[in-house]
Amino acid sequence: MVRVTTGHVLLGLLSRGEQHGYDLKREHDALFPAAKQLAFGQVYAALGRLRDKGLVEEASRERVDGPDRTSYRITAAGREELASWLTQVEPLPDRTANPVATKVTLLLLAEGTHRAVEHLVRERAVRVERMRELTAAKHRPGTTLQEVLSADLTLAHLDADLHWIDSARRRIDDLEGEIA
Amino acid sequence: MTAPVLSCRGVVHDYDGTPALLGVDLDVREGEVVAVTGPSGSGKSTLLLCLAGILVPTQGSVQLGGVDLRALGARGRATLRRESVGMVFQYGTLVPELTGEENVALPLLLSGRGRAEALVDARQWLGRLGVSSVAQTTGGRMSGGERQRVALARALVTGPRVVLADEPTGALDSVASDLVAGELVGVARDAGAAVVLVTHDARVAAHADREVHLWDGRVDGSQPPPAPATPAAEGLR
Amino acid sequence: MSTSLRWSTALWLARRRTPNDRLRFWGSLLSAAVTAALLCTAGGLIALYGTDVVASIQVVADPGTRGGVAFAVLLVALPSLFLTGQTWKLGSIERRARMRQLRDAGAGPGELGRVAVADTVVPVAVGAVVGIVLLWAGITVLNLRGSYMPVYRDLPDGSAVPSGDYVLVQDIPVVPDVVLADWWPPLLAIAAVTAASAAAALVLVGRLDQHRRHRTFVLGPIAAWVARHTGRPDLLLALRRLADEPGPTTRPALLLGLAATVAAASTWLSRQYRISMGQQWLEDPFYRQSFDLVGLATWVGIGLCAIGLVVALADATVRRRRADAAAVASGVPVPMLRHALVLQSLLPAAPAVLAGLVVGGGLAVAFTGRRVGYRFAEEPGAIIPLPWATWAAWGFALLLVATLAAMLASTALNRTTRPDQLRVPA
Repeated sequence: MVRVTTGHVLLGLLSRGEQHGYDLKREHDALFPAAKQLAFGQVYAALGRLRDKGLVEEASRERVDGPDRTSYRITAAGREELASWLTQVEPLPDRTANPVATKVTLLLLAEGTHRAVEHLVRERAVRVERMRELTAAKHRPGTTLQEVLSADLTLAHLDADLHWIDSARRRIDDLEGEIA
Repeated sequence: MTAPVLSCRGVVHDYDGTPALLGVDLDVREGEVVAVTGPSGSGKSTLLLCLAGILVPTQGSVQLGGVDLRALGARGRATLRRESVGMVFQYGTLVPELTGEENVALPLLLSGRGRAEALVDARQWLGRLGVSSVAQTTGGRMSGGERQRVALARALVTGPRVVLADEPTGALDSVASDLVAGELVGVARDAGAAVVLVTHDARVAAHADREVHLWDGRVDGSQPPPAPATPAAEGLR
Repeated sequence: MSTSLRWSTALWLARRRTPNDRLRFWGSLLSAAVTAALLCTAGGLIALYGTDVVASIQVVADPGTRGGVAFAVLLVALPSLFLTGQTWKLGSIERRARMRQLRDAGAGPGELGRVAVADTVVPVAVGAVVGIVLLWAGITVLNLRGSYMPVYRDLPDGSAVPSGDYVLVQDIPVVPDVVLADWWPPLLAIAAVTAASAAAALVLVGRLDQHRRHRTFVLGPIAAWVARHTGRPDLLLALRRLADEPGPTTRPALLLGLAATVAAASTWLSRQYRISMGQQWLEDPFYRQSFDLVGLATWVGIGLCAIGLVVALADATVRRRRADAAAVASGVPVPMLRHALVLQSLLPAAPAVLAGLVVGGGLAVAFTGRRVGYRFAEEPGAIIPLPWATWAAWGFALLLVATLAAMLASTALNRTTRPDQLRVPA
């Protein structure tokens, strides 16, 4: 219901003024370099759906030799839909998959505390390395604000992972102490 | 490969019987930035104090620029520290009654330089760290971020070979932390000094070239091999 | 200040828990004892106004000078009060933290006031009583034997002069009993000291959230100006500390200056009178005893001032422990911090002592003139040389006291600059 769809992103870009489909794709890719780049087919399919729902309309249609030069414009209904989507908060998922926790539990059962801790150390090293890459990238000249915001969010998630890894390790150590 | 600027071997230290470090080896190369991380109680601050020569470890050796610290007396280590090591702490690095430029000039004044001369160098460093505005402000009246930048200037003013920082961003919020950490690493690199940065914050550690993770007084990956086949998971069944 | 908190509970909450608390307890008790004894003495002398007092210390027995003695005793009470104030400040950081914890647990101003008063008043009241009891005991023991009175020789013209002989008279006390002279001196002394401490305790509670007040002394800006021109680290540090917080060493410096004034004046006056009176000085003990008393009072005052100075400097050093520990860890030598502390004590003391010597000596010389027998002879006599050596000795002794007090306080540096002090909370 409230997921980020291509349609919503295009609505957002169109809210600033009418644009051609080709320019929409280029702007999307420039603004969100971390996201998957859009294919032209996706853009036109999404624009078609939006038009069918009455959220955008064709502003003008030129057909010079070559590709379709239709420019699109957001409608009042489109603006309403955009506004309501932008202010809604995504509901949190009930369950989250925790592959690392699953692996660690299995290691504990099958091979013992030392192997489990070794694996946690490996998971840690991978995340620390990624954090270093992201931090270096943030400080490179020419980095955009969006890239920094995105990197910060990833860094925060990785940091949270590291906190969990440390506390898991502490719990395993305590468990080992109890067994011994 | 050139000799490391700072190294330690087999450092063991305990506080009145409570063990803090259980055998740590570390090499820091010229101009390298090393983060020492670990949860509280892992011994990272103790390691830093041993590397600085403030504590003499119960066992093991520490070498700074090839000089064995154990061979020097307390005064010798203090002089060496003043001239070759820059230190930044979490709290209280600055003298609150002195102004920003006087704080930075202090190590130079202690080595016998004249006031006017020392202040010239001090002001230069304050400028490099973007805190010229607090040159005449007393330490007690600066903000946390300003204080740590001035502390960093003081650490670098003598042209040290290595900067040792113990939780320099510990008292700052996350935005200021990121900024100060970035500046610390950047400015130290430009000055050609190696950095050993003790922190519990992984995001601050991510600014370094490499990380040494301490757990219960030992470096991760340096633990002795596990005892054969522990029937470990009994407790879980 | 109404509250339902019982005094017994307040006393329990105020119990001594740390070494600093115990230090504050005993310091308050002792200084309250001294202050109460001084106040009671002055009160007793005033109570004896208009009566005939028999005592061998003429200066006290003579109704004309008794008031002066009472005044001098009150003057000595000044450094004693200063010392009391200093001991109250000991461990003030922990005490304020504890008060805030009580407040977080739900204590209101009434409860906090009661706890603060219980904390401060107990040692002070006990000390005051102890002081007066000891004063009375001391006077009784002193008077047990009786006094040596001069024997007078009759002259043909009917007058009598001291013959130079002394005889022990059992019934004549050395000093009058100032404690039992009337009902009010001891009670007033105890009440005054106790009330003052209770008031100070309530002020502490009222100021719980206030950060350090920045009072501007004249010395502050001067010190800051000089600091801008010096490159010696210990001098720089001492000047900046004086500019930042002049109080701890300026008040004792003023008291040392006062002592210098009294000492300089007394040195000249005793020389002038001794030379001018000649034989009479040796035979009539009045003047000699007066100057002896003044000398004694001056040394007591200096002693109290010195103790207060040690306490103030040691407390300031402990409060600075984090910055000092970081400095030492960065390679600053501990002797440098010690020198800075000594300079912090000497820099305000030196001009105060010098000014005191000049003012005291100058006023005394102006008062009596430099000629022999200025007040006692019709024809002016020879010029008496000024006692430069004695004055210089006084100046040196007072500055030495300031230096030694600072060095004693600096032993705290050994404890406050250890590496484990790097992590203490504010």
